[in-house]
Amino acid sequence: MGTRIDWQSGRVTVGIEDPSAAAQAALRAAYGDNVDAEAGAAPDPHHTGHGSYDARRDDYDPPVRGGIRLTFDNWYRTGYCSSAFVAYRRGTYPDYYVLSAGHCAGGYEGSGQGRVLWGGRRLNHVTSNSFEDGSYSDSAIVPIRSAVRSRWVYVQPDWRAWQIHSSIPAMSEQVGHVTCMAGVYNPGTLRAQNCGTILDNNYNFFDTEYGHWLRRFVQMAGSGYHCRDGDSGGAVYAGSQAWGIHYGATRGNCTYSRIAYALQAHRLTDVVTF
Amino acid sequence: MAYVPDPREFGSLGFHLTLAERLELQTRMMMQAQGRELWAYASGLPDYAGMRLDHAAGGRLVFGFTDGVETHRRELLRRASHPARLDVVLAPVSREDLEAQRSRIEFDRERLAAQGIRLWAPESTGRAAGSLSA
Repeated sequence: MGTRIDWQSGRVTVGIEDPSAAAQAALRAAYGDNVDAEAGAAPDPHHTGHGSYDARRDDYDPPVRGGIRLTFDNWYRTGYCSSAFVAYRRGTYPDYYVLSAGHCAGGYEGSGQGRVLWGGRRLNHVTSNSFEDGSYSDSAIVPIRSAVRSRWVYVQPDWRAWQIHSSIPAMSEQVGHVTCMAGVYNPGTLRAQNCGTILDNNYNFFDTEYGHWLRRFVQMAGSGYHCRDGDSGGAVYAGSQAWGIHYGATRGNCTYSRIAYALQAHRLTDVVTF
Repeated sequence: MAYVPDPREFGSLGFHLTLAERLELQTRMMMQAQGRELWAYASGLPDYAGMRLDHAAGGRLVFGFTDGVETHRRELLRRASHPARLDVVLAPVSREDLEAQRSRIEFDRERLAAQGIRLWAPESTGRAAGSLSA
């Protein structure tokens, strides 16, 4: 619902579309003095001190990597998400795409549905989106030029070229496996990546905002794999293997869709490993 | 600086890791497991405020309570399998009260919209105030 509790400060932050002094006052009068209204990407109280880290993920800094910020600007809304991996479709001249979450584009696709920006520059528009009722993946693809493709994931400021060597086959994950996520906001620190164990490897749930049932997703243990708004579309990986595309939090646990289903949905050959 | 995992290092986790990474992951997994066990105890208490894993501090578990910090600290230390990585702090508002406040706001979503206060939808915008999963 766009609200956040910070138990350390004892405050409730409400994300609203048009914050103003009047809105702030109305919320506090109705719900208490510890309620704040804000718009935009709120700094995470648990993970401050990463200003340069986040900013660099925002920069236009070729090649395209997993875990960088993409801005989806369409008629439905403008919002920030993350990139997952670069993938390709086999052909005489392979087509290259960057993967992200389908809901970031509001479930829509096509040039009439707006544009995707990278570091303030126009990247392209979404050409395929799998986000629909009953889908096995919440994924969308944006075409990119061959010259800016990479097999890298932006894990940390000094790990901006974490290499991906393969993608995991469908339904290969098991409960207890450790996997990691790189998104714009996730709080990986130093050599500790943002990782957690799988709680459920066949998780179906109802997306309340869009009214969709999504199936065969993977749910992570909440205490190790952190995620927040803006991480959607981020790269889920284990070692050098691509595992999925981050969806969001469901029942308080971070959840991702499988890379194999996303590739299948968009008729892609595989993630780029070259 | 580019980093490439050494393919000769194949840890018990089933994928390539350096020794340092394997130790780090194992520690984090250990702390996750401990966090779940202690949370099961702490979250049922009326003055429980929250728990988080302090990654910057190397994976320390931090529990917050609105009262009885020393009592809770003793009890959690007694139950902890790795007490050296455990902190207990005083928090201003209980989890129950914060959740109740949030629920009221979310329940009033339509009424607030009628007043011109439109809540951001989660995730898809990425601009909304998000929530940590921990």
